Amino acid sequence: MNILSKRWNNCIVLEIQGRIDGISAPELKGLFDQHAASGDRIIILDFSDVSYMSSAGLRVLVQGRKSLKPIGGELILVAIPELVREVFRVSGMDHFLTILPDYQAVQRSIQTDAMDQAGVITEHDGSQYEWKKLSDSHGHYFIIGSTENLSRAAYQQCDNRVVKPSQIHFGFGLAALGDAYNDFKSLYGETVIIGHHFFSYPAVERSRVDFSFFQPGADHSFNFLYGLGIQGSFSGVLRFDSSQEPVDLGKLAEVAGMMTEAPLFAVVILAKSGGVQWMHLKKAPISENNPEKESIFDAGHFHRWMNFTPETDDFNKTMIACGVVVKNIRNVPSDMKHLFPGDGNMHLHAAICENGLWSNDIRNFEVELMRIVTDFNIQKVVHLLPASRLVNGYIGIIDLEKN
Amino acid sequence: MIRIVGVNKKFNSGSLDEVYALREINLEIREHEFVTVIGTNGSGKSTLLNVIAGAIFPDSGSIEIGGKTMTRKRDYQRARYVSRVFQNPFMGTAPDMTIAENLLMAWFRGKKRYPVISLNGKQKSFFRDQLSQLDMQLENRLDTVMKTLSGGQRQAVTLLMAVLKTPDVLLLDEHTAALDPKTAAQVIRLTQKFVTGHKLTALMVTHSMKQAIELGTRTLMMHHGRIIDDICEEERQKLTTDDFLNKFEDIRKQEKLTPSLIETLKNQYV
Amino acid sequence: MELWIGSINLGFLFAFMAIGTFITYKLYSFPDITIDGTFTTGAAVASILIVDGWNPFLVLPVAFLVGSLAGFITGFIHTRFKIEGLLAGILVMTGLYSVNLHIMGKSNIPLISNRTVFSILSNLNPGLNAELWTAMALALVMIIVWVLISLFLKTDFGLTMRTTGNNPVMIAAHGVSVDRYKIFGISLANGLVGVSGALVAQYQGFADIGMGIGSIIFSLASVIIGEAVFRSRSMFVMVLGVVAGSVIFRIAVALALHIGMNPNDLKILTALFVLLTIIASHAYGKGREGPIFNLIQSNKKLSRWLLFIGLLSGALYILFLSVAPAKTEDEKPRIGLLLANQSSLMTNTRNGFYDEMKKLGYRNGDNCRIIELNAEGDIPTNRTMVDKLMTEKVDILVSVSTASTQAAIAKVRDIPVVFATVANPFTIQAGVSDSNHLPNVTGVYGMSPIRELLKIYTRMFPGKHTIGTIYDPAYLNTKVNMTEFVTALSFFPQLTMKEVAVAGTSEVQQAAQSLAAKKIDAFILINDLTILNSLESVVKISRQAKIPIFSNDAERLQDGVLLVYGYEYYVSGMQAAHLVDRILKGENPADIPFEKFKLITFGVNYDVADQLGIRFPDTIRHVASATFIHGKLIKRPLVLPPENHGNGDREMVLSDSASSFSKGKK
Repeated sequence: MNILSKRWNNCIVLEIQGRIDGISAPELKGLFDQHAASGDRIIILDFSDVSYMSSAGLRVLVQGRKSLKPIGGELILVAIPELVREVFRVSGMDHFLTILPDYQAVQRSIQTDAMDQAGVITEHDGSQYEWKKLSDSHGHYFIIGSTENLSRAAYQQCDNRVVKPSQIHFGFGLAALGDAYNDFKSLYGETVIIGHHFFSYPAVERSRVDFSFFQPGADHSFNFLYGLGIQGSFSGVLRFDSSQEPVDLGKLAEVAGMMTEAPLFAVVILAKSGGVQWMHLKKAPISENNPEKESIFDAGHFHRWMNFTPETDDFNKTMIACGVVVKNIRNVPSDMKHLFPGDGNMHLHAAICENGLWSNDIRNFEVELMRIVTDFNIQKVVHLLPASRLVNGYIGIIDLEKN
Repeated sequence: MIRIVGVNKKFNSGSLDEVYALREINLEIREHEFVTVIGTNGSGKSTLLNVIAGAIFPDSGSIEIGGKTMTRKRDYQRARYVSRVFQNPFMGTAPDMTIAENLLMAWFRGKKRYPVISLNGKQKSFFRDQLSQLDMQLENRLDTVMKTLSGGQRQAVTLLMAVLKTPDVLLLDEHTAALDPKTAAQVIRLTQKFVTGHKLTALMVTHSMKQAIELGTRTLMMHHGRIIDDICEEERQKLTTDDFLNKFEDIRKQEKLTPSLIETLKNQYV
Repeated sequence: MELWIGSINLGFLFAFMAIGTFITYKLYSFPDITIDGTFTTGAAVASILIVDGWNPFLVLPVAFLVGSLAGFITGFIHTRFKIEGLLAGILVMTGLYSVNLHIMGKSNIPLISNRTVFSILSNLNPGLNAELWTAMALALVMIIVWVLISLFLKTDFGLTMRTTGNNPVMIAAHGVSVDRYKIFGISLANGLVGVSGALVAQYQGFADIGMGIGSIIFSLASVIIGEAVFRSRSMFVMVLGVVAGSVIFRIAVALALHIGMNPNDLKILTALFVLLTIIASHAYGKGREGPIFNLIQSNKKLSRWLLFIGLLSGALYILFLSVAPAKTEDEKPRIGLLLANQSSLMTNTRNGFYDEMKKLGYRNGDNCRIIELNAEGDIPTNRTMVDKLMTEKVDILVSVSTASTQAAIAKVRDIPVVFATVANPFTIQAGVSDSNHLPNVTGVYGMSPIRELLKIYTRMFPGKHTIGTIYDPAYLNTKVNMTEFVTALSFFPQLTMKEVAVAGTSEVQQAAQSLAAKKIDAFILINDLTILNSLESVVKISRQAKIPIFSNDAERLQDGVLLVYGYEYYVSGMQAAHLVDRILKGENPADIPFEKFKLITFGVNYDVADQLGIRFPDTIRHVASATFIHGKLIKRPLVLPPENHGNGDREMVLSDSASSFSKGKK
């Protein structure tokens, strides 16, 4: 078997020559996965030179379709010779797969699909950006607790702030799940909230992500030491693609800032990582954990309190982040000042998952975001450093006004 | 069963590439304990085994096995109490000798050898019985030359040789590392069978976190010549391999921390 | 037939050594070079004890113990100081050379008239062919040794020993002191080699300081042949293979000699053979890559067949040779000529012999046939050469050199032996006086006339002088010559001697330098082959320090020596030819007394004299039978004086009185 890949109308066309059998089928499968992973969604298989196809070939086609469908993709088979067509017919697969007679039919099928193409595509420093405006609405934020006691690890029970899931749409902070302070006090950790779903990474040894999916009417609470809550909807979504050279978070924030008028805005990111730098607490910063009243940033104590990446880490993983960005650090509202670290104009927490496939169609952003939040296995939640780099993905933007 | 007190060992002492293989190791292993040892490369885990086996003498400190001081005893003098299985499947057996001859050598572990022929029919049938435990159809190949066996078969025979004359202490030095996964699993099964079957005190160096957790009753983590963690039975049940990875990762990070890096990190956190 | 059975016997005797090598090489994977020394040590100990009157059987365990001790030392420094086995072997072998010399006291001990294992054996001979009888007895011994060694290697102890070699790490882990077992193995091996040396010395009838040289390679060859022929895992078969390998190797040597191969080439062939076989056996082992290995591996079967066919055809050829009736060449007398090496001593004697035979009317290939063989410096080969000449059915055997003569008289009883260029036939027990000697032996001999040389020197340079000499104690006859020298010196109280001993040609120049530094007035050189072979080194110092050289070697006049006085070995050959002629004409060798050399050369070198600023006195100029002047050698023709004339020239010089000799620098 011989396969020729070429690009045609934003799609990938694989011209297959020869036999698709048990020996050559895996190669075809490999090509599917490769294209799907690099963002192609519509894969067209040109069968005009296929002389034979076995059931192994059929299986690969079905697998390919199954993996493309949930990410908004499509597998189209075109120009199948009569002899091979018979295989599809006998197996009944001709109804399951999209089989078109020629490229004109393909053209028609794609065009009807592509009617709603709404993004505005720009190039910037070797990366491709696509901006889609969603609404003119503003979001609101509210400050939860304070970071005052953080560096001295001096939080006490009285610093705990309770937030109900329904009150917080997006958010981040240092929080824990639970009812009794004594049960959860040592479980505070980096937290991110996406669509009311809560994920936190308890600051304990051998930690595991703790989460709570949003169920309307459920009566439980999130316990914050500090944090930021956001209510509202996206004003727009920015898709970026920097497959050549991953782009860093600082740069992305800058580009995102150009898309919105608001001086202060929240971001919700779904992206593939290209080397992340992060930090997270290893021990809850409560006074019970700190009898000596030491500073967690003292050289002698740092490693006991804080986990960090000495170099970039976590490549090619799916990452969901939520945070706040200010265009000019001087314009930060006074109540929010404590959330911006000494060196930066943003504060983001991220949930890091194994890599998986998701659609790169900008119209699917919100659907995909929620699918990944609920379907993907989140390994950890961390505080993101601005030097983290991303390969491709989306940034949803919520323009912020104070509540 | 094993008591190690204040053991230090330095290699290439005084030269530029001086390496501290063991620093102030204090360790007590009780009878019937099956200890797994994991550690980074060059953490001193193999040196620890070698020091117990007597292949290497410590620079300072003392070693007791079964209540007897062994610090200055050579490896062959300790062989009565200690038996070993090496990583390299070629190291544990004599390649040009038959399976039966190899087993005979093991049967005489720690004993004097006289110029008499004791590899007779009775001895061979005893060996045959022992070999059948391996489930590798080796029991009918007593007169096969060792080098014609596969690595896994050899390692299994090596293991059998190590326990043939029940030792006080069994030392396993990454003995499945050179095997393919399937054979490794088989050898691990045998290891478990022998250690529990003979109620042995065993010390197993491994670089498989999975083995470290799943096998034995106690796990030691080593780094830079020190035992950094000693995880007992109950605690081990909660562990995953990622925990080990994180632990080692933590140590690596700790070594990289400088005041200026802490300052940078601080400014990016709060 | 003798040649082949003789080879089998040698093969049996060397099998002890081969088993030793089998232990070190196959079990411990290093060829133990110590055996080059141990072999001689075994021979030396055995000889010295036999001469001392010990029972020849009793010396065998002693040789074993002494050999083991040498092996122990090798093993000890190998294991204790972690010195590589090969290097440890070289160290001990080198050391053993001195030890052997000390044991023997001289470089050669004859056993010809002593009771040996083989003489005792031949007394029990029920009337069979002597070699065949020996072969039968040895075969029995070999079977016992074979079974014992094989069984030993199968015992718990033997198995442990083998494992120690096969996987030292593993066996140490099983409670075995690898070092101790290794030392034991190497000791055992060398003990066996010692026995081999003791037996070979008794068989060939003498021990010689150089007899062990190259043993390791021959021994390796035997082991490798055995391994190739008997491919098996069984200890019995493997040890049998070693014994067989040793026999096959000796037969192969005999065969090579028989078809007229130069024994010199034999050595390189052996070395190549060992190399090729080792490469081949590596190729048999898996994992080796490369065109040669691939070739061998792909042709495994073929190469086995080739080896088999080769051995078979060799065996058939030998069978044919021994069964086919020897060509009886009617009336033509067949003369065997045996030379020990290729030195000028040998070739001059040989040329003298051929030339004089021609003058006496014998034309080789016409009315006589001279079969010439050369042992090429390998002492045991002399023995094989004698066997070979016996199979050629020679009527008379001419042996040139002490070593060849020793081999000849130890073996040959029924045909006449004429020796030539032998310094002292009495030390090798060819006889007790000129007229009372072995009935079938006669010949030409002579010690270097050192006393006369000293006399000439004192006549030339009267007064107190310090003279210097250099010698190599390992060289054959040097011990005798030096004793003679010291005795001669007692006649000249005005001379003080400084002597330096060397081991090998490479040390000669340093020795000469050290003597020059001691302000000697002259070098007086005895006939020591080591020194003569590096005469240039002495000449160089002689020129620098303006010290004249006086030598007993008549043939080196033109090489920078001031004055020579000594025998020309050409004459020895001429005299031997006359003796051969007399025997062929019917005289009984028993009635022919040993002869001394009849011509002396007295040579002076004017060129050297000029360089050193010395003027020869007239008396010497007139008496000199050879002069070297302006780069040209002028010699009186060598003509033998009539029978019983005596040593005329010598008398003439001795009677000469000192007159106006002077020495002065130009």
